[in-house]
Amino acid sequence: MQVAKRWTVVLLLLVLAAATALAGCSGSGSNQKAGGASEGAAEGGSTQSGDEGGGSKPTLKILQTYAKHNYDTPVTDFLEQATGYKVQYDMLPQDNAQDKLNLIMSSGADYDLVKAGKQDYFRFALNGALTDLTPLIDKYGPNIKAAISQKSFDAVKVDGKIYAIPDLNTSYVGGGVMVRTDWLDKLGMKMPTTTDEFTAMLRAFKEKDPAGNGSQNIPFTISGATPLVDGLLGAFGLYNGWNPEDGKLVNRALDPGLKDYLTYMKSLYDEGLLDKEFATNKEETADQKFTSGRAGTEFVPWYKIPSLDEALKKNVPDAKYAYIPLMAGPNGEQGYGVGQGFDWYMIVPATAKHPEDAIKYINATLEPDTFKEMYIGKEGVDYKVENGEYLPIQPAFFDDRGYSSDYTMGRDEEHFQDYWQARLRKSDAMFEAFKQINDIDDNFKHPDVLGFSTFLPKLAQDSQKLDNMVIDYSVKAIVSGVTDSGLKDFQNQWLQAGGEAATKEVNDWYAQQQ
Amino acid sequence: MRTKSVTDRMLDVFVYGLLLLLAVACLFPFLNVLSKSLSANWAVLSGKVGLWPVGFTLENVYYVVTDGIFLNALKISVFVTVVGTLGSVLFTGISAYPLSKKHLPGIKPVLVLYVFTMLFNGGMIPSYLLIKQLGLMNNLASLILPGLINVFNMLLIKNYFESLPESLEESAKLDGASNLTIVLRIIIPISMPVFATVSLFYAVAFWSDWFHPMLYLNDPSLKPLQLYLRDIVLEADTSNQNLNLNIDRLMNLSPEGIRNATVIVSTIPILLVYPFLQRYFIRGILVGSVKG
Amino acid sequence: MNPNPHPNPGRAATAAADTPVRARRWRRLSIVRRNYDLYLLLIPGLAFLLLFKYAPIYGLVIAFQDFNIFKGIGGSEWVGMQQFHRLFTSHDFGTVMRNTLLISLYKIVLLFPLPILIAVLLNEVARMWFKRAVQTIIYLPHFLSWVVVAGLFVNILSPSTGIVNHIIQFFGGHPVSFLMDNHFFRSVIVATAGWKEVGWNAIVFIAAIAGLDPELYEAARLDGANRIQQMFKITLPGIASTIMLMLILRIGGVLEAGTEQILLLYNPTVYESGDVLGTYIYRVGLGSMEYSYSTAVGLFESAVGFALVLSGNFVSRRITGKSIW
Repeated sequence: MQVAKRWTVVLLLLVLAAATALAGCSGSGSNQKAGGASEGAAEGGSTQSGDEGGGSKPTLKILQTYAKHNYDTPVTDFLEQATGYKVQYDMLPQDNAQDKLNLIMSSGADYDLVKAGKQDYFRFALNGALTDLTPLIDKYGPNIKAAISQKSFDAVKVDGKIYAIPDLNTSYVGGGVMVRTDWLDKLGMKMPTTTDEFTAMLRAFKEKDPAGNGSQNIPFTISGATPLVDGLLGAFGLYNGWNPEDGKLVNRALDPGLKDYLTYMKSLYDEGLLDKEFATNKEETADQKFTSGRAGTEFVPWYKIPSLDEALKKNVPDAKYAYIPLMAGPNGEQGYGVGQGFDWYMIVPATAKHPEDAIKYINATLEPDTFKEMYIGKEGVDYKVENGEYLPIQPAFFDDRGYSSDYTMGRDEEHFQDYWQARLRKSDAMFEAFKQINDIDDNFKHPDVLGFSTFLPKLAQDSQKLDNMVIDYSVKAIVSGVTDSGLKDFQNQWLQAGGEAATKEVNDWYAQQQ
Repeated sequence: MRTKSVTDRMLDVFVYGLLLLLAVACLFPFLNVLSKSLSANWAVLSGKVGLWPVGFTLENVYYVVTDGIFLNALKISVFVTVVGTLGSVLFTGISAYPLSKKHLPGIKPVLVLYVFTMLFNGGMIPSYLLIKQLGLMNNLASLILPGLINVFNMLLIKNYFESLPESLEESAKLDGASNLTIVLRIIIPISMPVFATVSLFYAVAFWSDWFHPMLYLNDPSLKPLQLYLRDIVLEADTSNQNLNLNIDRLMNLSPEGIRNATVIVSTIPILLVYPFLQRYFIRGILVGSVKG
Repeated sequence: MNPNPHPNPGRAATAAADTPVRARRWRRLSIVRRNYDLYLLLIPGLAFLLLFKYAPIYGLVIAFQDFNIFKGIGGSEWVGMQQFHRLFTSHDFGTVMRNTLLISLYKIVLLFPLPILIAVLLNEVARMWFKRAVQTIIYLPHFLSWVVVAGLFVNILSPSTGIVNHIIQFFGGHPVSFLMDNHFFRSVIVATAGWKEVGWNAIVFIAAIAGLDPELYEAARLDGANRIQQMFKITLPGIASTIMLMLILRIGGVLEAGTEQILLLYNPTVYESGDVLGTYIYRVGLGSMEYSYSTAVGLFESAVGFALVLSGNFVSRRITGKSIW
């Protein structure tokens, strides 16, 4: 029917026009008035962050990252008592956190403090969404200046101004290749120290089957998400994502060592030494294979040790395991990449209600004794000191301070790594393993140069995607083979997907550091 | 009782057999997840759990369930689901009825208007801004209002109305009944199967929604159950590209049994709802009773 | 022209002959007036629609911009079709589209009829306890999240320890690496999606069958029709409109081939056959916060979906006389 069709079109146009008009009213960017007023009126249950009268401290609103405990732990109480500030914590979701953070920050956030990651921090700073903290730190932050090094401050400056209090991370080797030492003992073999010895060991595992697994035997297993294995990567000079070579930073994708590494892994795969199903292994699948006693070797980050230890011991009571500390490659290269930099950046939005109190608050938390007590509790109750080492008192330590690292807003940079040892001793097995892999000579620990870099927008934009491309290619290469033309194709794709721009940007920055 | 013919019996075997196979195929994996949630972590980690718990323990379920946080989340979800479902069924139903009357002038364009929104939407950013504009941030209404009418559900109801015999309404009209009377006294009672279906769909949608709470609620005390559970599941999923992992977090991660426990916990309430709705899915019971 | 704008009903016939348009309009107006209460019923729904669905639609313009969330829509630069161009000329677009369409098509052809079959079969079950039990059990998988289920299937399909391969070997076959073989991956996707959703999708049809008039069945039985004939002559035609509706809407979603499912089940060795639009965009967009690009992709999917719904509806109207509007 002509009439109906005409009306349909007219109606649709009218509606779209109305929608646009409505949209015009609603605006497309910041609307602080609506945000502020509405939050007061329509709150479902949270407290107001209004002033409580002249002289007393206002309640601070802090936007934190997700934590299961909802920030309802003894640490919250301690901080309130020690600083005199009440804090209302909101949390970002676990998933889509970045999107949510962007939405909040771009539409007039009324939080006093927000915890943000590196990319986000710089982006917010460059878009004028943050309060300049430099004068506030000078005025209200003597503890902050004492706790945080100049190097750290320099790393977060934008146009010479400080817009965040950086939270320094702990620096360590995260994991390596874990081997069943009882299998080694049974075969009368020693811990391998080179890739050749590693191969020989795996061959012996395969042929001699020390555990009697039969067809279920797997010499070496990994998950499909980690074809790049720390420890083995070091044997080919691929310690970090970007490695210095001849004064330039080269990404693994373009590193000549990549071909050698992948060829080596492929040889393991072809000989049946590397789990044929690794590409489909989820992390839990690979773990299952190790803890059920089927696999002789697995790549394991040491934070997993407590649960792996328990499971393995239940299934194979006599099992013994240890990290293979170092393996040298054909060119004698060996070692691990070590992350460095900041976990978080504490920022004060430009639209915060109490920016000065925010800094005063952080200043109070960074008073050395306050920080220590927040981080590891009371001596004699939560921890004790033996031979200069900090040991936790179980279970008090983990009940009272198990989650303190969620609360840190800047750290006592000089001391906190020592305090952190207490956390490490959550399980003896984990502490043992940590030491096995971190007590290696410092020459073999290669810090990630980009950890303290300033904002590199192209890198920030594309790094996750580029890293994934390397992982994807590696999986395919290990399964089906490395050819020169295939490698070239991949590298071209990588360059075009943003790798070229990132490389230039990274090296421009690096050149300035020399 | 009629005696069954041979073909009838063969059909029975086929029907029962196939359905049994399907039921088993659906049940076993579910039992596996259930067992894992009740098993000791070492067993789950080493893949030893089949259809029955190994090292029976309630600690995973305990971890998920005992929290003032959990109970609060449960309360909120129940509230949103009940209010949302009732509101939605009402709104959708009354909108569907006029839309099923094709002879009404101007009805078709309105239908197109509805269907268009099924496929096109403005996305996360304008939705967030709209809710903010309306002053509904951190307000449970933001979970209920945007979902009030689901066009798919509306089409289901409309479709059902259209398939009802015209004679029903015609005879009522001859008796002098108004439109509203017809709707309330005749149409609705006879449409129970579709209303039950749509209620189920809405209930499940409101119950499972984590996206809108994620977007519109910042206050932790307003977190509904699904978001609470999802956060737990994803926290344990270290292969996920999320930004919240640092070593201290990782050291405190909850084990795999937790993931399975959350699935079970979130499924159980729906299992309780379904039996109530099932009786509406029995053929002919209500049609017959209305006709008398 | 008739000077009297409100002709009395008695003159309608002659008036119709003289001024057909006017008479039609008058007739239509009278229908509207008589059914004003029905139009009132429409108002809440329309208000809702306008506010919550149409008001945010302006956000689609982001697809034509280089959107910066801090500058907002007003402050972001226009780039026209650039995002779309980027999508269509991206390196793997061809492969990805092919996979998307194939997997979607397989899913529709193989998995659309199954819920109907299940509903029809359930209708034949006389023992209530069996019927209720089956109905409840088969929709359970719908509630398991893919995060959990994918891990399960990885185990079940394992070439070395998986039950499926054990069965295959029992019957003399060779173990198959389902999740690493491009020949099998799509089948795995279709089969696992089927397992998860077929029971849930049957609910719509179960309800539709429940609305059928039992007297029709009685009459057929008296005429001597057996159960199979009843199935084809009464049950299926009775729910035909529901089937058409579901089919049309299903076709509208053809560009969504199961992103979450595939993300959790795939790995680089099967990108060739399993990488679809959703998974591709996810990988390419990882961490980059490119709202414009993802909005453009979404708009593309919506436009295609809408076109398909329109054409599906058109075809349905021609062939079966049933249409959504």
